[in-house]
Order: sequence, then structure tokens, then C-alpha cells
Amino acid sequence: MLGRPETPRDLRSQVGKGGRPAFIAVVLLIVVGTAASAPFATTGNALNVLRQVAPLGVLALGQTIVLLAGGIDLSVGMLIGLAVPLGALTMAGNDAQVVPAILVMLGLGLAVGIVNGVLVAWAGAHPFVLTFGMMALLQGVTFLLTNYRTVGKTAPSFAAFFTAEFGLPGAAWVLTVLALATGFVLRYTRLGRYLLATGSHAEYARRAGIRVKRTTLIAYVLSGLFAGFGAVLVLGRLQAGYPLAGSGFELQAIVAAILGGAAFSGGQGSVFGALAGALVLALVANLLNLLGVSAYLQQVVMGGIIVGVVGLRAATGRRRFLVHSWTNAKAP
Amino acid sequence: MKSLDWRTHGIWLAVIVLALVAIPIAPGFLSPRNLLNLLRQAAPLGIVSLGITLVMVARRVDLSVGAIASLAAVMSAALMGGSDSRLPLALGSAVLMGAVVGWLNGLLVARGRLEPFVTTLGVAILLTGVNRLVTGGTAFGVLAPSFRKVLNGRWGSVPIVVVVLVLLIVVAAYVLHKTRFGRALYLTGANEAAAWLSGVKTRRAVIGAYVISGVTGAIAGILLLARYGISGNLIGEGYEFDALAAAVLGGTTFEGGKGSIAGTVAGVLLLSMAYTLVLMGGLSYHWQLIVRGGIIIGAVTLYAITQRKARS
Repeated sequence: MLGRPETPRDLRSQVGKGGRPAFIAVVLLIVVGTAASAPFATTGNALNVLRQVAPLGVLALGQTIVLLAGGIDLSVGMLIGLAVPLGALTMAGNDAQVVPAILVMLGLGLAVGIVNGVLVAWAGAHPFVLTFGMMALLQGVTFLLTNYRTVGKTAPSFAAFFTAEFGLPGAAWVLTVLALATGFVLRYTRLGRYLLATGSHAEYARRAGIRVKRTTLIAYVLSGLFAGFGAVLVLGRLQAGYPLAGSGFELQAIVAAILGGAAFSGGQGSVFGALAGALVLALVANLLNLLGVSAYLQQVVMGGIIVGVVGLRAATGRRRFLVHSWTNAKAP
Repeated sequence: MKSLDWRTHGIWLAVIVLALVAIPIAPGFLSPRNLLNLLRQAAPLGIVSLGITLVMVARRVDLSVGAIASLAAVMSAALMGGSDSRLPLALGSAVLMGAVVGWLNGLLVARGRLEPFVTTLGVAILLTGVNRLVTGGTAFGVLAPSFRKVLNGRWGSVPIVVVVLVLLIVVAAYVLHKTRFGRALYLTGANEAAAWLSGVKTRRAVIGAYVISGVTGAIAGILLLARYGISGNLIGEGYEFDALAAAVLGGTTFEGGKGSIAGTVAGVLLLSMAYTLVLMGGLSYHWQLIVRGGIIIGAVTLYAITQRKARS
């Protein structure tokens, strides 16, 4: 084990430290982007990036919470895939239906989160396989519901919220509020410390009197709920009940969270890191688009940058692990 | 050791239960012909899962195998150029490519100590991009005439692909359970620091596991190419997750140091039976997905419950 962390503040700075490489990458990307592309450093483009990053940012927050508690949630992408058409169908182009539609999307997220959480915490199902199965199931239900077509219609007021700017785009405000709330919970509440303790070492946490099962359940419920919020933002961007809206989101969210300092071994990750990780992905995509790089070459570059940032993290964060610290600090 | 044994048995129990459920739903499910067919379908996934099991025993993970399979298919189709005489060159270079990518993964993860999940995912995205750049996103290359004939043929009544699968299972089981390299993988996965201090060459073991994983990915890609007859960048897509799920169902853990080839084989059988069953049931695609998801969720939950009962 590591010589320090003694005080809670020490512990917290250890936990969040992994986000720095992602932050450095964001700064580098902004510098490179400003130099390489004239339209990059404009207000319009900045707002565009914020709009793009919002759903991914929200998902990365949810994934960070689950990873912090030592789990993983692969079902969030297909959860969005189901929630978006469901929301569009509920809204049906009617302003009065906006609130019920949002509640349906959030409710679906809560429900899936509860199922995941109960099966992981109480039945002891392996989270990777379980949420992988949930992913297939949700995709099937989505196709069943939509019959492979774009369905439903959004309401004018719902569309207006996402095109208007209140200083920032509407979607960015949603992300900001959720990020602040998550940061507050993780940093200043008992639940935050319970999540951290559960992910660091579930058995020690249990012996210290923490209700590990309940904490795990809450982590998955929050991940599902955040996926519900993500679905609202995706629907806001697409303005259509597109049945493939969520494909691949789970991997992007996991990549963003890991880039931001979360780890599969649990007990690590921060809000700041998750946002920085999501921004890295969004900025790379945005910059490559502006530079007119072909879609296939974009993939090559994106893969390279992901490996690069993880490498940066490995190079800068050698003494950071609470668990397995020795191997990471001193392998020859 | 005892818990390891039970983990292996637990998943076989689930396989048997699913087989029993299958009999009334799909008569003829347990006929030898259908079982051989099931194994033939399961072969590429099975082969990939073997490699992933070695990597996971060493507490790492490899998400690049699907992309490797796809690139191997495109590469061998392009290199064989419709001529039998170029088959060895084509297949050899595809396997070599798998080994090289695996070696690079291993270097990054073992020497550079990079986070394996995201690193290999990044490599996968990169390889898929390269693949699409080369092919332009369409089918590519002309197959040699004897390539499909041999690989889709039968040895007696056993498909050649199944023979390949069984051979590789035996080799993998020998390597993991009977060699020093295999033991080094377990020790590395269980406690890397202690293993290294005891003189185990942990890095070399991890790199070796990734090379094997890359090679199995390439072999799976070649088999898939033989099955579909055209190369494309969709071959092997998503295989890494199925393979991970199979390994985990079979008792291999992300925490490393645990797992067996027998368990992984059972996991592969379970997933393949689930997939075949929904196909045989004649369900439409969305119901296939729902049933498949339900089976995976049910299996992993039941398995966890029985395992806990057995332990207490």
C-alpha cells in the first residue's frame, strides 16, 4: 500500500489525480486546433463542441460513478437507444407532453439501473457480462418498438430549448448542473465516500460498516439515471426518435471515464477527469472534421490519440494507485 | 483450487440446463449433426476466447481481437489474389500481422504499463480505420479456389473448422495448465509484484499472452473469411465482447489469476447455444436479441447464485 494517504483530503487528491493527463490533452488540443484551423477558435465552434460533448459528458459522469464503485455499465448506450425513440413517441409533437416524455426517459434509466444494480449487488452477477446481456436485450426491445424506423416527433418547445443559448447551449447547462451535483456528492457527502470505499476494497468497506450492496445499487441506479439524462440530450440534438441513436455510446463513455482517471480496479475517478476525458474525444472529432480529414483516417487518428493519452497517464501517474501500488511504482 | 473447480463445474451445469430447455423448443437440437454444426458456428468465437483467456489470467484484457480478425480477413483475401499458390503467403502474413499487433499491445501494456482496456480499444479503433482506408469500406480481394473448399470441408463427418477448434483448445489447455509460461501467467495475474520478486518474467509472460491473443484473432478472421466468402470490415466485429463474456462466464476474472480453458469452452458453448437456439426458433432479429440478452442475464445471475450457495 502507499505510504500516505492519511487525511481525507490526501485521499481525495489521490483519487482525482488521474484526470490530469486528459486535462493536459485538452489544453494541447486547443492550442493545436487554434494553430491548425481558423474556424476552430470561434465562439460558434466552441458552442458547437459544447453541444456535442454534453451527452457524452453526462454518460462519462455516470460511468465514472460506477467505475469508482468498482463496477462497469455497458448497457448505457442501448439504454439511450431505447429511451430516445420512447421519448419521441411520448412527446408526439405536443408541448404539453414534454415533461411526461422526459420523465419516461429518466424513468426508463432508473428502472434499468435498478435491475442492473439488484442483480449485481444481491445476486452477485458479474457486471460486465450482465450489462452486456442487458445491452442486447435493450437493443432488441428498441427494434421491436420502432420496427427499425425513426419514430415519434419532438415538441416545438423542446426543440427551442436545445437550439437557444442562455450564455451556453441548453444541453451544456444540463451537463454543468449534473457535473456540479455529482462533484458535490462525491466530494462532500457520505455517499461519495461510501462509493469510493466500496470500489477501493469492498470487503474492508463492509467490515467498516458500509452497506456495500446498497452503495453498489445506488451506483448503477445513478448510471441508469444519467443515461436517461443523456437520452434527453441526444433527443434534443437529433430531434427524432432514431433507433440507433445510442450505438457505441457505452464505449465512448468508458473511454472518456478512463482517460479521465477512472480505473477498472475501482476506487478512482473524478468529475473533473470525466469531463476532461469527454472533451478530449469531442475536440479530436471536431478538429478532424474542421480539417476535412476523411472519416476513415479520423478513426486511425482517434485510436492513436486514445493510446497516446493513456500512455501519458501511465507516464505521469506511476505512484497514483492505492491498490497494486507497488507494481505500478516499481516494476523494473 | 477447490473454488476454481467449482467455477468450471457451475458453468457446465448452466450448459446442461440450457440443452435440456432446448430439447422441447427445437427438436433435433441434440442430434450429432446439429451439435457439429453448432461447434462449427462457435469455432471463430471459441478460438478468440482461448487467446483472451490467457490475457485475462494475467490480469489484462484484449479488445483488439475483433479488429485483428477483420484486418486478417481483408489481408489474406487481398494477398491470395485468387491463386492457390499464394495461399501460404496470404495466410502466413495474416497470422504474422496478428502476432505483431499482439506484440505491440503487449509492449504498450506490459512495458509501458498502459491501461489495457482503453489501450487495446484504441488499437482496435486504429486498426478498423486502417482497414477501412485500405478497402474503402467495401469487400476486397479474390479468394483462392481451394481455400474455401478445404476450410469448409469435412474430415469424415467432422467439419475441418471443428478439428481446428479442438486442436487449438488442446494446445491452449496444454500451454495454460502444463507449461511454465502458463504458470507465469497465473502468478502474474494473481500478484504481479510477488511474481516478479520471485523471479517470474512477468513482462515476457504478458507480452506472450497478447501475441497468442493476436494470433488467435487472425486465425478466427481467416475462418470467418472462409465461412462468408467475402472479406469486409464487418468480419469479426464485436467478437471481443462475446469472447470476454464467454471467458467471464467460464470463471475467468478481470482481477486475474483465475480461469481455465475448460471453463472458457463452456462459456463459448453457452453463448453459442443461446445464439443457435434463437436462430432455430425462427424468431425475428429483434426477438433474437431479446432472448439472447435474457439468456445471458439469466445465466450469469443463476451462475452467481449457485456459486455462492456452493461456497457457503
